[in-house]
Amino acid sequence: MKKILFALVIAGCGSSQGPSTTPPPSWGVPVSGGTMLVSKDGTHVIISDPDRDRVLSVDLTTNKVAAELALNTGDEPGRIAEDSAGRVYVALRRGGALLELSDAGTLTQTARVAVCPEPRGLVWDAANGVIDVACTGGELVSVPAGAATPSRAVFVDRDLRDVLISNGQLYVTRFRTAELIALDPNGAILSRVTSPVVARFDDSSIGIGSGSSGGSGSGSGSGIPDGEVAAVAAVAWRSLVLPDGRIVMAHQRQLQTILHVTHGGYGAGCGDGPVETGVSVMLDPNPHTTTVPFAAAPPVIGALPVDMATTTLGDRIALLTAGSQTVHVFPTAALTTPDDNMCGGGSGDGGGGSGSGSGSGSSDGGDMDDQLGIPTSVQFTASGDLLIYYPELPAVVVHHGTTATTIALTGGFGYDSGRALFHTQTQVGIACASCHPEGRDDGLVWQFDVEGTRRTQSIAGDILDRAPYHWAGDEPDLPTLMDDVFANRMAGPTPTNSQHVMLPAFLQRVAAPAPSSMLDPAAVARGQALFQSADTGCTTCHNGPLFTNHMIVNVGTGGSFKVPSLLGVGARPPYLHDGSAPTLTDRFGPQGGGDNHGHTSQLTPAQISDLVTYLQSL
Amino acid sequence: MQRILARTLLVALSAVGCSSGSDDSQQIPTNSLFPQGNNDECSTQEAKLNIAVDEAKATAPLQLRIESCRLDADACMDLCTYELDNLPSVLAIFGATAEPVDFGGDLPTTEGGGTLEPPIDNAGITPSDCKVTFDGGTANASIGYQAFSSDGGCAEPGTNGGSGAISSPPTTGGGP
Repeated sequence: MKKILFALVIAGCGSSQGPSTTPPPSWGVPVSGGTMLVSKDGTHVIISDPDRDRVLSVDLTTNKVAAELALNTGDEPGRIAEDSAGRVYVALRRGGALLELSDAGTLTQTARVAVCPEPRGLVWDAANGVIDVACTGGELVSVPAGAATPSRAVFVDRDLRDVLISNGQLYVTRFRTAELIALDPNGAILSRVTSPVVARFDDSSIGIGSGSSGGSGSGSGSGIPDGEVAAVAAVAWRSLVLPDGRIVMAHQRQLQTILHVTHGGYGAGCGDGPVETGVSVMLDPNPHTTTVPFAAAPPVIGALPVDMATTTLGDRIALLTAGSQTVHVFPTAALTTPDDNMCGGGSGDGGGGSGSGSGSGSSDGGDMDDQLGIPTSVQFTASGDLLIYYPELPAVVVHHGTTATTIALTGGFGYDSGRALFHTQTQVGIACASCHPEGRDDGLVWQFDVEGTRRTQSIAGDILDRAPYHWAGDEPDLPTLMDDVFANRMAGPTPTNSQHVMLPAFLQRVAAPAPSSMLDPAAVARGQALFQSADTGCTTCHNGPLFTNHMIVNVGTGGSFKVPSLLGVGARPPYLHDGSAPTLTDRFGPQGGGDNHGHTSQLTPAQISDLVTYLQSL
Repeated sequence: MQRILARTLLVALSAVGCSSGSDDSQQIPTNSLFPQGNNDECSTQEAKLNIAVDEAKATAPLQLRIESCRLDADACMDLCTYELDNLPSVLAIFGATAEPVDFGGDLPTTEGGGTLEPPIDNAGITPSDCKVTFDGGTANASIGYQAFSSDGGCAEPGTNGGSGAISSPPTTGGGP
């Protein structure tokens, strides 16, 4: 009894507690950027909070939360638009819907319109009175203002990102290929452009040139001299229309260099890594530059340019690089400076450019580093103040000149050391999310010193159940892979025990890409029958819930490789370990291993088409 | 070079008894955070600093790190690093205290609310040890670090490149 009493006394003394040694539950989603909007009347900022499945409105006159709308678990709110009547629209990235809200101040839900499995970009088309929604499945869906159903859905191309209107013309961007696509009023493609290839110094130049960047590169890589490499546009995180009609794209660039599997072996060029931040003028209706698309001098070095904003006047641009946890503000005039610095970023604006600022900037120019974790979105107010959203606390920081005011938001603290690690750039200037944007893949092909050519693997969709990892299956588990790739090749800090637990748990919650909603169901059914037939033998290896038996096999494609999961396969061209098949149809061509890789030589072109349609439905 | 100059300035200020005129009780003697040894030699000494912060009064960056540490022991090193990097602004938080230990122990506990002059920039020093406990809303951090005992021959002291120096106060953080 005395012992018990003693223990109770000790426990009840208010003695201090240590921090938790058990990692907390996984939290949050991969950063997508572009999740804030200032209302046209300038009174409110609307914030999508995909990490907590809610939408917030903050009154900018009082700096208080004005309204909060809770959403369904997994809805993942994203881009926001406002129509001429002040109604607000939110894309539910995983909820597959467009949310209609009465106004920016109250966020009263008036409708939830099913549009496509994965809506991304939004734009208010005042001329036609519709909200246009761009979807990763390739759908472009139009919803009349205030309506409960779409008025139109057309298929444009897979992997759509932003949808934009400049001078009455409709455009969409594609995410991984960083294309700007002009559309006619019926949604038909008029033209495609990508940012020009630029050159970078590199000691390990092999001149792999263009043509392996997902099928869209405009390709001047063959003109890159020895000692230099091509830097090809990829992963268009965010595009916007300036007040003068120019369309600007914040994207990544792939340095087509040799990657080594040694410590720091993913470093490249001038030490900034094989993935850079780029800013390009994709459209210019005015005589600002000689030609478009125009590769502007990158204003900053930093990984993951997930968001970008401009002022009402269009005189300044804020670029958010989540990897460096920095927002860089530069004059729009810098967009006319060509990207001719062979070392890439940090030029063109005179406003910093290190990507590692310590809060020395102002809303007029320079780097803003509020030390509040990973920023995910940025906007300017009507008066030119800069708003930066930090989801973890959560908080919005208002930068007015050199003064910063932190607005604490409701919602409770969010923490995930794996999520943080995934978005943190290392010494070689890249983050996990550089090649695996939004927890998926960049669609790029890389040249390794030992292994040869490898396409970035998708990590979305039940990653924990897909061991062993990498094409050869040589990484037995994710902690081993993290130590090898993040700490060794990327020269990052050794992951902590917590990160070893939390990053896999975080990634496990990233779903495989959803199929397009516009596939022909009859073709899908015919293709499924072919896939499951003993004659084709597809299910010999591609079986089970993930469509893989996890074995290492040689199917005549150039070596022995882990059987990949086919979940979301339609969303991740190019195909095979080296990306040598640009499309799923090409996989059934000469590159695909012939009848060593299933038995499909007997299939007619129509049957191959059905089989491909079925694969696109997975 | 900047570090060397700053460090030299720091020692010079200490030698002539320079004061900004602010309340000296708000200061932590800089030679206590960076114990002085033989100036002709570059040597290091393991030092320790205890910092207590009331989270409710902490700045947003500090709150972020305190909450992360509370949830995940592996995140506490980031808290200790931040506190060491931003010592003046941390101590400007009302109620925050800091007590250097392990080299004399005769230093007064510093209560926040004022500005430390000269401000101490410890940026770049990685703590060698970090222990954090929580008393309700107060986070108590015991931070071990390598203090450099000489201003000569320590151009890039330590593997982490850190050094005591005079610099402008960090722009983040702030008083109560």
